[in-house]
Amino acid sequence: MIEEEEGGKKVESVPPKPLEVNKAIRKSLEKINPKLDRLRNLDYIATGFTQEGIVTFREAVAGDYFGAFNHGTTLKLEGSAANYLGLNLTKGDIIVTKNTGDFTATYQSGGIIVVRGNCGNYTGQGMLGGILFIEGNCGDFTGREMVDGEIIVVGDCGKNTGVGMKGGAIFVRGEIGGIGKGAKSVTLSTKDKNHLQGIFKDFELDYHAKDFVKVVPGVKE
Amino acid sequence: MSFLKLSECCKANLDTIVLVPSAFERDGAEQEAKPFEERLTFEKSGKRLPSPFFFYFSHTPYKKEVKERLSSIIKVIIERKMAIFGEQHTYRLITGNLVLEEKEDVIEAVEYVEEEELRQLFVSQITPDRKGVHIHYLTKNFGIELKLGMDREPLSEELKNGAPSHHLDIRNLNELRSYVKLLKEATLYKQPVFVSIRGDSGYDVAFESVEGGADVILLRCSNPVVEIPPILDALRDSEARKKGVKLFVLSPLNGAEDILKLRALGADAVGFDMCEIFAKLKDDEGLRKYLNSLESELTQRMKFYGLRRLSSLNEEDLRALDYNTAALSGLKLIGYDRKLPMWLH
Repeated sequence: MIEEEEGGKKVESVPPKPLEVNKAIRKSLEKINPKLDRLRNLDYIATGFTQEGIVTFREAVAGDYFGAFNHGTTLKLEGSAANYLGLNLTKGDIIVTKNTGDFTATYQSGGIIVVRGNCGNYTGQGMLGGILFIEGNCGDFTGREMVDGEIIVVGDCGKNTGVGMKGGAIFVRGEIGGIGKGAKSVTLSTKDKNHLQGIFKDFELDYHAKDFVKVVPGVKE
Repeated sequence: MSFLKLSECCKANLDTIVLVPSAFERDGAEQEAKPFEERLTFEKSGKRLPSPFFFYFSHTPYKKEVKERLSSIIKVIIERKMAIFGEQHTYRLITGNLVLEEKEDVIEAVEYVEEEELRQLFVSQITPDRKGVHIHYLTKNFGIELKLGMDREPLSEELKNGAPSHHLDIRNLNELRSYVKLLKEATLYKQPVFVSIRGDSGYDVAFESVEGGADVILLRCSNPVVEIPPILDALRDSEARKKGVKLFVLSPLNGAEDILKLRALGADAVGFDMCEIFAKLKDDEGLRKYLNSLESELTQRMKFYGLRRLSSLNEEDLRALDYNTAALSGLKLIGYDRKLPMWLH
């Protein structure tokens, strides 16, 4: 419940339900690129969107499952999000300016997710494709069971990074707390460096590919 | 000894319960019953299924000989307007959209089923732990089935060793509730959500699913006599029956009498396992004959009992044949004609 001053009296206003917010965004997406202010702790926001367009959430704190099951819409979240951000994302971008909780980008199979802050545990779990770019640090079990796609971490990674991964790659610039079973770290080849540098160029970022190590599936030597 | 093992020892099953003909009203007996055409309405989403029977794929049929028969069998089911439950690969296989890696495995001669016809009856299975699914797969078909408890390992044990797991399932009841709600929200509450649970999952899982917004609990069970009552308790406690939540039951069937017993136990729809169908029946003609004979047998039994609609059956029309069955199921004991004292609360 939010309390607001209205004519000197305090009025209790009922927060909107996710369904109402989502319906309103979908409707406005048909005409314009909507901008929403001060969204607070609502779960299931922007889920199942298929329209082309950009939705901006200003000064927002999103709840669980932000942008889950999306296909095509670009979501800009100026704030932080809770768990399961971008679950099952198949197309479209999600940009978060602050931190996210656990299970970010679980089963992402397309599109791009950019997190400017830190991520919790199990980031990129079971990823099937697409790109997950994290400018901060990651918790434990990053890239657990991932099948394809790329996770780029500018900061550090926790324990069991890449545990059980079957495909794809995790690029880490900082320290890795420990590599999990079924994964190994390798130095970048020239092809990898060019590929990574291309991504940095697209994102207009000033990082150098030579600073990164790559975690791939395999047995440690 | 667990409750289920106890029920097996005591041999409480569909054979140890009996329908009591005298309990039925015989008003509608003159009019012919049409059990395969009784519609099921999902009040929350406003959708309807034309038949209270469904076919269930437990696994994607990858065997070549099965694939050759698949589309012709599916066409018979579509003719009958029964729901089909299957996962993404099954859907693609039926519609001919599946691209297989081994090219010699693709059967070009098969005439595939039209997607539009299939969509009205196909329920998309998803497991929370397996592969990404496209939002269109969830929204374009009749409904969504959330499959739980498919031989998953518990997550916590694996994490202690840091070992890779084979499957990641929903880890607790809160996650289950929030995942069901996610499916409802992502589809704007337009798609009915079926939560499919194993018979031994029991009260808690059914209760939390319904609280999350599930439209149907689909019970995959081997012994419905003892496995249905806890689910019905959960539906009763969450006041789900008033909201129109339904119970679908998938159980081994042995003729029309079993269907009547399941309906009387509380099932709103009864399912056939596709694995059994493929093993028993060689072609579409076999399935057609099987369904026709089942329908005539069912109509005959209903006429004998003086029933016009399957939905008029309830547990008052059943009697347990022995003390053990009455004790485990809560049904009235035959001869004693009452529930046993421990069920009178």
